[in-house]
Amino acid sequence: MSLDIRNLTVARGPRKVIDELSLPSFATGEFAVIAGPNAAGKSTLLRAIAGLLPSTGDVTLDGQALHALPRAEQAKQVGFMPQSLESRSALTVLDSLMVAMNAGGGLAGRALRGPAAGRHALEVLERFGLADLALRPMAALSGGQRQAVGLAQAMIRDPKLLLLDEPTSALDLARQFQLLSEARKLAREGRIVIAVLHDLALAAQWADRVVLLEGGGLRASGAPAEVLTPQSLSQVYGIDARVERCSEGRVMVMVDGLSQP
Amino acid sequence: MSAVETILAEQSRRTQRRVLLVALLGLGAVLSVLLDLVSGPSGLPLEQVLQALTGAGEVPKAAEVIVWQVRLPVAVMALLVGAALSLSGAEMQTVLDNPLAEPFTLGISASAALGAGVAIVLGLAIPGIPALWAVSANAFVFALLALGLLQLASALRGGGSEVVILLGIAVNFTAAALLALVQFVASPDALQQLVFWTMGSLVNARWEGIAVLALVLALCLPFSLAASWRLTALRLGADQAQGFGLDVAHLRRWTLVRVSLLAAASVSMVGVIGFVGLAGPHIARMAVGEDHRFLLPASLFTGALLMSLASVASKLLVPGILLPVGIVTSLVGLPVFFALVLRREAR
Repeated sequence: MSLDIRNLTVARGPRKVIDELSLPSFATGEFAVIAGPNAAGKSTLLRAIAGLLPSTGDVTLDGQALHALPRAEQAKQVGFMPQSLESRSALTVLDSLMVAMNAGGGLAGRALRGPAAGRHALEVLERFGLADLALRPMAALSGGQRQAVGLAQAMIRDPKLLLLDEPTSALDLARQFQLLSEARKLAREGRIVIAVLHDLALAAQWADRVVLLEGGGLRASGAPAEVLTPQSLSQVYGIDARVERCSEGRVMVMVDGLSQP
Repeated sequence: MSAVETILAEQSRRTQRRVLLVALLGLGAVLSVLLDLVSGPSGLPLEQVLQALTGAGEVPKAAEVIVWQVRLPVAVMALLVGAALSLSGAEMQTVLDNPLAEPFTLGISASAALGAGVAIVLGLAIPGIPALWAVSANAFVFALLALGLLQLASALRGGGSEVVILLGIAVNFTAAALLALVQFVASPDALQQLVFWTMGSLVNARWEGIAVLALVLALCLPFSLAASWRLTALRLGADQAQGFGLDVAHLRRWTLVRVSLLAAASVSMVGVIGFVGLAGPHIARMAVGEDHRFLLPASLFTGALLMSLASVASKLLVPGILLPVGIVTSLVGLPVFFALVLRREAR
């Protein structure tokens, strides 16, 4: 299975946020990180792949034009975890998963109704360490909990492609670690996982590949050590940065100052 | 019992409780209709009312006429109008993601009133419609026009709910201003008729009107219930719902069509009735939560219950005088509603 993105363009009014973007294929098992400065089009790219924004160009998953599929069909293949779950809802976490399962027309080939559906939802919650929150209303969750529930919602239909929009922005260090190792594990189980991350240290630590965007176009794509160099960081972010390898061979990024006034 | 089993048991206990609450609200609605049937200025004994209804035993002709041609149409109309307004309010609040949305706040009632005013005061009606139905038909068409405008706005602006709400408020004020203009030029006689209509009243309930409203409700309800998972998904945010595989713009559009038909049909039959479309869904939500599989039927029954009780109150509040039911829903209903909301906030 592979994900191919060719000539993707996303316009917001007259402005092209993503302009004719083509990326090297993503392959099953890969955990890729999209990085880049603010307004580079990271989240826009992710949302366009997920089919949440109108776009032109080709997004092909497993040889299938993804956006030509009906919405419900797309949702079975693609899981999208938003940066923050905006929710004042009194629905419980478990209810929200039942909704995520049933709203798009149910799960393909699985008659999950009543207790069986509840059991499946709880399995997913348990996997992400959220079972304790099952009966808690969504509105009563902390930001971090809500973000984690977002991942469970995205995973409930067991998608082949998982898209995470700044999944660690509300998480403490332990939970960042937990979520990213889980994301990589989900990829290794036979999915493609793509996350937008601001934190380059995390990107360097976890990603198989970093896609560096700048101004709606591709700057570089490849292994973290290839993409995250002092030169590219200086050009893209306008910073003086050192990129060093620590004893385990991991890439570390240290910012010393701004390279442009 | 493992943690999973405990949670599942609790979940099914909650589901049972919601089913029970919905059933109780339904029972309450039925009982309130019976109460509506036995209350009235003529003071018929309960026994005679029941006999007239079932056709069993000897019933005086007068009792039969009172029950079948006065009380029953009023009671059934109250039931249907309450159910339709409350259901449309519930769906509107969800698709527009606004707890204040209802036919009244979005200018649908005001537009219907304007339509009625045009018929009553200016004598302008849709050709081919019998005089008896001219006012209702006009009100229906104007209400649909208002909703068509809202739909158009939302289609042009990509289905955003803020645009719909702002435009609804604008429609409300425009219709109210135009209605004031119509009232300004009205003869005293027509003015009185129009004011009475805008107060909302059940006394003109007729079986033909009931049939129309029942038909609209019967057409819309299955689609509403079928959309209940999708509507619940909207409570988690439009973006998230889209990610779950919903076509949110499509859902919004068709829900607004259903809501429009329900609201326009109700308002055109009985005039402006505020509060029920707002309070019905809120009370239902307090009872059964946001899962629309329960919320929609609960709203339906709560609206029917509220409207039937308002109908009863309109007969009993001032002995010998039948108050317009629209006044009663607001005067009696709002304090009750406030109390419920404040009690919930206090918890």
